[in-house]
Amino acid sequence: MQGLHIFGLSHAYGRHRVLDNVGLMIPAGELVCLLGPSGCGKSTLLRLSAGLEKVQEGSIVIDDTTVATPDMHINPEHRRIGLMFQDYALFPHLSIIENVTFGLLGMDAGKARARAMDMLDQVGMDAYADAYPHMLSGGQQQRVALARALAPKPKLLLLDEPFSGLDTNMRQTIREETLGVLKESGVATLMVTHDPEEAMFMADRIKIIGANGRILQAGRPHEIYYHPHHEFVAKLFGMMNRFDGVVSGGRIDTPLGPVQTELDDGVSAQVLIRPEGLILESDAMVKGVPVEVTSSHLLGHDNIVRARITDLDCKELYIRVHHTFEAELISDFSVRIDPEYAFAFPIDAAAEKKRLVTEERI
Amino acid sequence: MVELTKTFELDCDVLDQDHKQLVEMVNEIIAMLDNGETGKCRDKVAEFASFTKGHFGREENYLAKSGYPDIEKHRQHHRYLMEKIDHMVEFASAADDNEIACESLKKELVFFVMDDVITSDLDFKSYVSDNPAD
Repeated sequence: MQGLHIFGLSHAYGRHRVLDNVGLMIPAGELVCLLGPSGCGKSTLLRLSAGLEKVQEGSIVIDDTTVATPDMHINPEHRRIGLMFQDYALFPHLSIIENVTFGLLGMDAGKARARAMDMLDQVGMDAYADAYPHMLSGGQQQRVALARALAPKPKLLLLDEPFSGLDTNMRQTIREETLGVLKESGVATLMVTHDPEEAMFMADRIKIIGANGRILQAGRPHEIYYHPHHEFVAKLFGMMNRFDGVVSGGRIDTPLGPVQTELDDGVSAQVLIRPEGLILESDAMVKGVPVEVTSSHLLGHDNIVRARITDLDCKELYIRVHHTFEAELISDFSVRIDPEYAFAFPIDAAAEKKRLVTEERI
Repeated sequence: MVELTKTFELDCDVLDQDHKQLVEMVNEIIAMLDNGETGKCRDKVAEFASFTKGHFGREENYLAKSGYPDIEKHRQHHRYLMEKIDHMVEFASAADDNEIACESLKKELVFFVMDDVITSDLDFKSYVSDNPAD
């Protein structure tokens, strides 16, 4: 099968295991994002795929050719892979066209130049062929890096946090352009990132790696965001409102109303609700739970509002409000839960003890 | 076109045959979608869903007989995959006049069979090789 196939991959640095029995498959033309916190092993997996490190356990197969097992190792230059890093890694002493033709060794010089120009044209950088890297902006350098990575027509493209060195506006533009070029090229792409929004934008499929180096969940961005199977996955996308309770009759009661769950009755559980899953209303006709707004922060496209449940000694709520919102002009608010954004997970007693100790220290 | 090449094989006939059947069904569904046969595709996805459920049951029985120690974890994995099947059935129902549903269904079928089902099953390849149930 065309693409990347990894199975049973485990890896350790000394006694510290960073990858634990990881498997994944990326068909040609698709983009899979590995998303996880720093130190979870995602860059190790990328380096193993590239051949920059030797496999300790498991196998890596690119386009039906096994390129790495504990007993064999094909060097990076023979794997037909392209690499793109956060820092562009262009050669400063070579012109843009020379940077792109660098990976086309063995090709006739005329054909190599034509291929490089074609790639520069695809990323909108053909007019800069004779410029040098220091003359270009970060975004332009990243476009050149993409052209260079794709010029040898790799079977697999590996992207390591490729947009994190760019400012916000440039990042959005470059990742949209990059996605277009990758889809056009039909190459299988593995990208690692710690930015959930970036993963959701770019990926056909997201694989979440936990701090233990295991894949916790894999699926479409929609599936990962709206149907997290683990507390860790749910929390990866930002702050959450948390309420603890015990399951009874297929639901958990919270101060904001009941939340349905498939957990068994009697299980101690936590309900996690995304800030956008709390609907703040000022309409007296709506039957929500009365709250007092304590602060509001405009983020541009939305607001983060902090509120406290009236007459209840309880933690502050974090609420995301998408419409125009001026807390100063309204006095009576209520909150209700949008069940699409509320998730129930059993409380892991050991993890909970650790969390409480940490909170006490803070 | 999806192919079940050597690296995807468990070397366990009964389960490899099931995987082969799943791959063939995925290829048929993708061909139907490419030919605009969305009505036939809907029926085939329902058939695929039913066969997959049967496969999960057969696989769990096999693993139970062989004494696979992580069987509960694998059963849980199958339960999650059943949710994905429900989504694919919904996509198939919408594929008639919705190009995005059509493309998402194709993509999801390939990832489902090759990554979620078969690559995950490779976790127990060495165990069932050492402890065959039959």
